[in-house]
Amino acid sequence: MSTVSGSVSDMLMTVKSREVQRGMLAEMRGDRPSAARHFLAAAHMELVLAADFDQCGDADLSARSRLSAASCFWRAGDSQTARVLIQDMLETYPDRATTIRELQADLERNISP
Amino acid sequence: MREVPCRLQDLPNLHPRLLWETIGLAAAAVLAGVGGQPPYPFVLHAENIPGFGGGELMLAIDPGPFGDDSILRLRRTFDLAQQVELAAIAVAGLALAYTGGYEICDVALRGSAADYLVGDHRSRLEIAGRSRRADLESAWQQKWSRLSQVHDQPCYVFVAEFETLTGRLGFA
Repeated sequence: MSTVSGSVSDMLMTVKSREVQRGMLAEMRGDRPSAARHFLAAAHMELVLAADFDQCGDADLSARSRLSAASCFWRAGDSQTARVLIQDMLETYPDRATTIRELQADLERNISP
Repeated sequence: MREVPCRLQDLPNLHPRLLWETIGLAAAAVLAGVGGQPPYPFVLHAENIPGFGGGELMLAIDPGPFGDDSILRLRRTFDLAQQVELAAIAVAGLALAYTGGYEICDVALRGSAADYLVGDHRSRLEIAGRSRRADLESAWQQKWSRLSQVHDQPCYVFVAEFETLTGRLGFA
């Protein structure tokens, strides 16, 4: 589990996935403080992963991690940081604008900030 | 029909990137609620799974060592629909592992019309669990059309019902 592929830590990816899961389970049982903690942790890990993917030249995974970071910040209750990330992404990845706007619409519709 | 013995406690080894404790426990709780004695016979209809093809498989599911206290706590924490949803994730994990040998490697991006990502190619996976057999077909149609027709990337769909213990796993 501690292997590193390129400059992206496999362990970090695993921990991030598990933090998202822990956030989702906390969300399901209505435990907002716990959900916020886990989603915040996941959001920061996604930002680290996004930078690592950039360094490897993997633009797809980098964009996915940034989008996931925005989603995690929002689900943690920090919609302001999420909106800043989303705006940055719309400028950086104009070819992905549809996906980005779909995520934003989903968050606005289904997750109260 | 080929019978495949499998255990919920093997999920962390089959899909080591994810957390399985609560999901496995939910599956044990839901399976125990169906009645009968373990291992629980879960009939899986597989369609077009790479490396496996199609056909019926019976997963003989050993719920493992979860105690009554843990199951009671889980039932107090999650409502029945949530338990069934989590149980479906557990059975999807077993189904993917014992058909094509696939690993669920990550949680899918919210809003992507998928729940998880599978294998090295990160194919999308959508999972649905229902408590009544009568709801299986409509759940399948809903998930299948949403995932397989809207996007052009490969995807898996798994739906399960926990009245008579059947499920359907497809790939497009």
